[in-house]
Amino acid sequence: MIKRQTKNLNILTMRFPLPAVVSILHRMSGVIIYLLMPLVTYAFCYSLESQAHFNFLMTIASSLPIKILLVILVWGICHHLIAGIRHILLDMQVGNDLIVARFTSKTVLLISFFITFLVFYL
Amino acid sequence: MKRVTLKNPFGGMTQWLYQRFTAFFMIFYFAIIGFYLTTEPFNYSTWNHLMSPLWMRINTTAFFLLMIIHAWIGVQHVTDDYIKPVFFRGLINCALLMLAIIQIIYLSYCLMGREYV
Repeated sequence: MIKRQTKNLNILTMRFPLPAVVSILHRMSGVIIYLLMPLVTYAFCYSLESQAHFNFLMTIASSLPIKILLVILVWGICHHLIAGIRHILLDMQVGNDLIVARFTSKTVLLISFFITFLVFYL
Repeated sequence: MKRVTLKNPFGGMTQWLYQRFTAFFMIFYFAIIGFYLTTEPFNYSTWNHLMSPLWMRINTTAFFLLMIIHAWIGVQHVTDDYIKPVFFRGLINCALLMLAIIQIIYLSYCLMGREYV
C-alpha cells in the first residue's frame, strides 16, 4: 500500500517561528548592506573631501527617499550586528533551549529597532 | 566520516572561522565609531578629526578589507542557496566580487591620499 504524505504547501497558512524570522532577517540585512555598500563607500569618500561636500551630503540626507534608505541601512547594520552576536553565542552553545532562543530573538528584534530609533531621533 | 580540518584554506571550516573572526574585529570598529559619535557632535570638523590619524585610516581600510572577506563568504552562501544554474551563479558571484574589489581600491586610494589635519 502506498502511503500518502499529507502536504500543505499553501504558504499563507504557514508561520515562521520567531528565531527563524530573526535568522532570515539576518541574511536579508546582510544582502541589503552588501548592495548598499557602493553608495556608502562613495558617500564616505565624498564627505571627507571638504566642508562643502559634507554639507551637501547632509542636505541630501534630509530628503525623504535617502532618509528611508538610511533608516533601512542603519536598521540592517544594527540587526546584522546584534543577530550575529546571538549566532556566535548559539555556536558556543549558549541559549540553545527553545524558551531562551525565543527570548533572545525577541530581544534582538527589539534592540535593533530601539537603536535605529535612537540614531534618528536623538 | 571525514575529519574536519583547517588544512584547506578555502574549506568550509576555514570559511566559517574567517567569518567569525572578521565579525569579531568589526564589532570593535563599530564600538569605536559609536563611542566617538555619541560623545562628540556630528559635524565636518569632528568627522574629519576622527578619520584623519594614520591609525584610524589603517583601521578603516582594514575594516573594509575584513568586511569584504566576511561579506564575500556570506554572498557565496546566499547565491548557493537561491541560484541553481552554475553558470549564472558564477556570473553573479563574479560581478559581486568585482564590485567589492573596486570599492576597497577606491576607498584605500581616497583614504591614504588625504592630507593630515
